[in-house]
Formats: sequence, C-alpha cells, structure tokens
Amino acid sequence: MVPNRLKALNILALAGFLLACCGLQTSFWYQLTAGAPAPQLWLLVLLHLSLYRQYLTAMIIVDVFAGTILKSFSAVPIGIFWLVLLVIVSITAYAKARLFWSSAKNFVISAFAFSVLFNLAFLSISFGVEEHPMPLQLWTRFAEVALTTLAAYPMFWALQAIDRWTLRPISGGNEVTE
Amino acid sequence: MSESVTARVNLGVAQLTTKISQSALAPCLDPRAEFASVSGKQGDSLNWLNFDLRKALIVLVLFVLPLVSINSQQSPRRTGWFDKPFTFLAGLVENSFFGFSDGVRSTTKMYVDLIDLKQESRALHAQNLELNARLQVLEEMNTENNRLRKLLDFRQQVKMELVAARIMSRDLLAEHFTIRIDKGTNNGLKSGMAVITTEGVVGHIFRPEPFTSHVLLIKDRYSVVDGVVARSRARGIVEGKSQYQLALQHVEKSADVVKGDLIVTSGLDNIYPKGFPIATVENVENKPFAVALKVELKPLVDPDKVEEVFIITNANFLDVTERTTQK
Repeated sequence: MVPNRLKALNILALAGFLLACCGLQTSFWYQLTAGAPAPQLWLLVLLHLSLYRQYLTAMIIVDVFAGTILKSFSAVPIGIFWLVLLVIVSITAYAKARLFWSSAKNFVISAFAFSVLFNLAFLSISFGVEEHPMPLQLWTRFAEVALTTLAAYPMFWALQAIDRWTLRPISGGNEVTE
Repeated sequence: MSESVTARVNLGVAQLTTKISQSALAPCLDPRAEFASVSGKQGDSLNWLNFDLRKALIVLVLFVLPLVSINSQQSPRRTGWFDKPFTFLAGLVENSFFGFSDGVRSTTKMYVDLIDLKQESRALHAQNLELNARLQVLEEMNTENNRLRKLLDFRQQVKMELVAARIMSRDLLAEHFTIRIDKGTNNGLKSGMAVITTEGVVGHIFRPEPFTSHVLLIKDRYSVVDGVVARSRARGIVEGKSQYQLALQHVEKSADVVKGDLIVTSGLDNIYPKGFPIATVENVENKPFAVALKVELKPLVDPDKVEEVFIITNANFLDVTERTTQK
C-alpha cells in the first residue's frame, strides 16, 4: 500500500515532467527544427499512466492533466480532447489486460499503437463532430508517429525513474497497487 | 750615381749566374757541362759553343712570360686572345656547376619550402575556417539587421500603434495552428488584437496571459477573417484549411475572382485594419449546382519562417489598401 503523500508526490512529479515535455516539444523542438513534426512526448506520459495505473485512476489523472497542462499549450477544444483521450485510454486499458508485459520493448510497441490510435480517434471524432474537421496531414502524422515511437525508449526509463524516485513501484497492468 | 747603379746590376748578374750554376738549369746554360754529360766527361771546356737553341727558348719563354703577364696587367679590362678559350671553358664549367648547385639549392629550398608550405597550409586552413565562421556570423547579423530595419521602417511608415513580439513556440498538436508570443497583458495586449508582419496578416490573439499570448493563426480551421479581393472588391470569408491552404467562403457566383488575385482584409471584423494582405488566389472553381464559388487561397505569411511579429494595439482607423495595392 503506497501512502497518499507519495501518490500525490508521484502525480506532481509526473505533472512537472509532462510540463517539461510539452515545453520541449512546442518551444525547443520548434526553435531547432523550424516547424518540423515533433515527437509527441506528452502522449507517452499519458500512455505511461494508462499502462501502469488502474483504469479509473489513469482516466482521472489524464483528464486533469489534459484540462490543465495540455490545454494551456494548445487551442484544442477541451471537450473533443477529453473525448479522444477517453477513447484511447479505454482501449489501452482493455488491451493491456490481455496483452500486457512490463518491459521497455512493450512500452515502445504500445507507444506506436497508442500514437496511431490517438490520430485515428482524433480524426474520426473531428470528422464526426466538427463542422470544420481537422486536416488530414498524412505526412505530418506519419512522422509524428515514427518520432514518438523512437522517443518511447528513453521516455520509458525516464518515467520509470520518476516512479522509482517517488517510491511507486512499477508492476504489471491492473494489479498496480493504489 | 750611374756608377753605383751599374755596380748593383753587375752584382745582381753575378749572383744570378751563381744561383743558376748551382741549380738544375746549370747544364742548360753551361755548354761544357752539357757536352760532358753527353760525352761522359765532366768539365770539358771546349764544348761551350755547342748551344742548345730549344732549351734556350724555353728559358727565354720562362723569363718573358712573367714580363708579358706583368705587362698585360696594365690593361686588365682587355681580354687577350689567348685568354678567351680558357675564360670560355671556365665559363662553361662554372655554368655547369652553377646549374648543378642551383638545382641542388632549389631542390633543397623546395623541400624546405614544402615543409614550410605544409605548416603555412595548416595555418591558412585554420585561418580560413575562422574567417568562414566569422563570415557566417556577419551574414547572419546582416540578415537580422535587414530584417529589423524592415520592421522598423514598417513601424514608422504605418501610423498605427504596434507592439513588437517574438514567436516562442507553436501548438502542442499538429492539427492546430497557434503560436505563443513573448508579450502579454503586461504589455497592453488584449484578446482579439490583430497580429501582423510586414508581409501580411498572421492571426489574432485569442488567449492573452500576463507575460505571453496565444495567437490563433489564420490557417487554423477555427480562424475566420473578413476579406475582399483587392482588384474587384468581391467579398468573402477567409477560413483556415490546412498548413498551406486557406479558403475564401461565401463568394457570390457572379463575383470577379481569378487566379493570382490578392485578398486583403475588409476591416469589418473589427480585428484587422482595412487593406492588409492575407493571401493570393490559387484556384477558383465555379460548380454548376453550388451556391458560391469555391476559392482556394495560399497564405502570404508562413509563421514557421517568421521570428518577429507586430500586434496592433491601436489601428487609428487606418486604411492601408492603397499601400498594399501599390506594393
């Protein structure tokens, strides 16, 4: 049983890390590459929560993060964003109960699937709900998925380190202690 | 006086005769000695008339040659005919040796020079690299200088109140086109203020914060700008479509719009001053059953290539249509 103060510390650490990832992606990467597609580092933090937390806990933290941190970095309508995140976190929770094994390789494969799923879900919901749906931007999306998958390996160790430092042991799937 | 000279000459001749008689030349000068050597009898006084002309000539030459040489030294600049072959030969030999030594010296020098050249080449290469780096810095500074001068000129030319800002970042999601600038409400910025560059419209502020502001770019799908065709004054609504494309919506089917037309702001949306360039017409499609023309536009400003922007804090009811069309 992990004490509540450690849980809070862990969430705060993850929030800080998510903030750093967003800044790195939107400002640092942008200044260096002048508008080239960027790895979706923030998506990997959400994937980490989806894989290593229970479904409801993950969903709440993801929604809080999306509504506070992620929203401040984008013009995305929060309703649609929450809907997209609900879909992908739910699918991930469903899949991890059957296909989960805890390793960096699993995280990288999951990152690829999670990134593709995010784009598909976002496009589907945008085309279904919005009057002016989002542009397809296929090349940009492919590049983002590839870069996100590449960034997954170092991100796995960084996120694992955060969990370890905040005294939250990583264990498999739904059996994560709360 | 003359007697003493004569006495000296006689004495000298006597001494010379004595020396000759003791030297190896004695047999040549003494006919008796010669005769004696031939006949095998020494000291025969009767053979003194037996004179050897050849030996005498040799002796004469030996005496005369120094005298001639001494005489010739009186005009050293003249080369006698007998000197010429020798001087010619000497010249040839010297020339050969000079050529050889020159070859050796030049080869040695070349080798030394090669070593020096190698060192010099290294030094020059390093200097070249340094100069190139400096040149790049200077070029970059020159570019920046030109850009800033252009911005300054623009600011002085238009009679509006502008705030300059730098672009800090872009949107987290690729499907949204927003940027964040480094000026906020502390600098007098408010929501709905127009963001422009010297080239044209960039977007408008939609989320101002104390130190930064979020700008919605005109190419975002949530962005709308009231625009007119600069040439024919046909009206429409400019909407964002994708990264490189806008659309002019709600244009009457009878409107005069052709490819290449410039679309400018109409000033009716209370965000952008009248007459600022937005985009150029890329394609016009008039479908038979459509209620409006389908007009595709290409934005004039690519925010990915822009570093500084202006925020119009007070447009002073300015109409820049004339300036835009003249440009």
